[in-house]
Amino acid sequence: MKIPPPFNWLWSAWKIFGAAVGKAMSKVILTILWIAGFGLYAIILKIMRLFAKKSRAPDTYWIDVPPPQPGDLHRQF
Amino acid sequence: MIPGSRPRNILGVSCYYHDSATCLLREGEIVFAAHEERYTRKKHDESLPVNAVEHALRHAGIAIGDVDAVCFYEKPLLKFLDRIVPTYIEHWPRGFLSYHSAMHEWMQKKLWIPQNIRKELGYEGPVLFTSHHESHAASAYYASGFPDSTVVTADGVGEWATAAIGYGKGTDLKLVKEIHFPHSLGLLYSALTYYLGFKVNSAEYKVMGLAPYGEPKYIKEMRELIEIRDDGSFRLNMRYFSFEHGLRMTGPEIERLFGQPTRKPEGPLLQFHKDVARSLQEITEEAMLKIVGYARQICPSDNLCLAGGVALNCVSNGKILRSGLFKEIFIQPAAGDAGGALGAALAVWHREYGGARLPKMEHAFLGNAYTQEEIEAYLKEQGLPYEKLDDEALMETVAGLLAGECPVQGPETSKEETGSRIIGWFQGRMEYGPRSLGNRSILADARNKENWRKVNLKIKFRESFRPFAPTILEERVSEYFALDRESPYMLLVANTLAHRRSEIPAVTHVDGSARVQTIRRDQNRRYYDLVKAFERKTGCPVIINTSFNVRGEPIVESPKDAVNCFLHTQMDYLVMGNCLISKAKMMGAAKVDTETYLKKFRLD
Repeated sequence: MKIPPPFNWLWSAWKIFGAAVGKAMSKVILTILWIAGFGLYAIILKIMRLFAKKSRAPDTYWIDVPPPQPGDLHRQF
Repeated sequence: MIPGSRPRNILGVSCYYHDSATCLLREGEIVFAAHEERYTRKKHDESLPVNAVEHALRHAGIAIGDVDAVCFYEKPLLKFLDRIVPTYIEHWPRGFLSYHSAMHEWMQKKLWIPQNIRKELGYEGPVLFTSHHESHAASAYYASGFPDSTVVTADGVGEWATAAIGYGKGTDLKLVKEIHFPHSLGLLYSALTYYLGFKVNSAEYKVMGLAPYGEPKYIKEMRELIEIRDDGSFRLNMRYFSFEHGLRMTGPEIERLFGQPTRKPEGPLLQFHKDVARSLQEITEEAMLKIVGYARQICPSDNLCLAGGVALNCVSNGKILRSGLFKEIFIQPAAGDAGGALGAALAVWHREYGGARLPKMEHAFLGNAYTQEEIEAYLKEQGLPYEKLDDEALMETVAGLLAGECPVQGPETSKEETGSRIIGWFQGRMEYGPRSLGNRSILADARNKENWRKVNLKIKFRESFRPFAPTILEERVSEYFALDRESPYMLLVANTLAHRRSEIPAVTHVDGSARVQTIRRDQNRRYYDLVKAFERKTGCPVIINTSFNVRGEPIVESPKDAVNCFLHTQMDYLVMGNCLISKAKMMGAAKVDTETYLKKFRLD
């Protein structure tokens, strides 16, 4: 759809404004998630680790790979 | 294939990290494979390879609706939910800036792979997902032609795995052991690449090329960075690395360890940097040798397949070959993430479709080609003078120019008209993988020591320490190099025989080694015929083969790219198809601004 001037300038300016607001909002939301979501979980895990037994270094750092499951090619995990 | 039925087409895709690419299989046979960067002209382009896919479909004469399955080369949800998020939680509150940057990427595109593929490619069929290291393993094993093989992959990181060992037999391929992030040989190499002032995920091979100039004086410090067990398993000392949570690979701890600050990009290269590069190379070789040794124990075979970014370390590959642990070795030419597209497609062919094994991948010329008509049409459109020769005359003329023959003999011939020439060579189908193997190459006489400096500084505009690689006729490889087998993909380093070093100084590195490419006629007829013609004229079956690009630029893809590169560098001739273009005859025909051209490409 072609928007005639001056509305097309207003539309472009609105899109730029929208993108800027979106960028700012996503930073705010991600920061809140960082503190409230990641932070809370991180603190709980760190406390739990304080009480966990220290494991000794393993004999090898190789880890066994579980065999492929039927249908796993259709999954993103 | 059932007679009367349509052939099954599988498209493999790798993207969104670095080096995106696509590969098209038809009934399991590789029809087309190419990197996206060649079309967008953005080096290591990571965007969804829409251009490469378009070219693939056009080459195969099909539409997107004829594709039966698209396979992505890793499992994004596993990567994000099982590794990326828990890693940020583990390191909280560190990693805030990295988290912001990563979350934007993931939320906007990496979590929407099937949707993006369907939207951008106009595709409606199933989207499948292999694991990252399975893609690497498949790209090597299924292309090797081996009936069975030990398989080793090593790179930066996939979902979790950074190195893996597996075994392939027939159509069956299983990974059995792996090492998990953050402990990664690839990331160790990248971290030191960063410390040495080079670009990560781009210039690791420069560090490999720098190593022969140094001494292994920092092995003790390297052992502080990485612990390697006898079974090849390893662990990084994360105190020195910040890639888990930071925007940089290393921090002040590593500077304290080595006693020197991180080198600034384009800063002076001191002997210290060369010694660190050498020490890093030695520790990497030690780790890889132990890994393949252990792999042979638990997955015994006479054959070895290698893939993953660390498999591009051809010095290490040469040592593995000479160890005698395996009789035969196959290294996927697109060993990095671009090769994941091929591996993903092959994995689907065998696992989902129960497809049969196909013969060995004998060459990597899998991209698009341009016809003689298209080349001439472009040259005429640009008003560039050229000479059209038949095949025999072309090979004789170009070989003569490489050898220093003058095209115009006579009493008026000036000194400037003689001397060996640097030639841009644009032929046939484009290579798949990071190396130019004779279809998009800059060629020169390996006997002329001056060519090393000239090609580095006046044509490639790159660091002067970087060596050039030779192409040699396969039947004569053992006469010049300590190598007794083919090396078609330039992924093996061998020593130039002592009595030959003075004969081919331009391709013999400072420590006497060379990154060899062998060529057979059935692999690339025109390139073989050219080297053969050169041999007839000079007695020497070796020429310099370097990639057709300047520093920071992807390898040229089209006649337009080739002409642009040719015009803005000091190459003497350009050969495209059967057209010979002389720089001397062009003066005035095309206006050039080299500085502006070079500024288009970010230094790598």
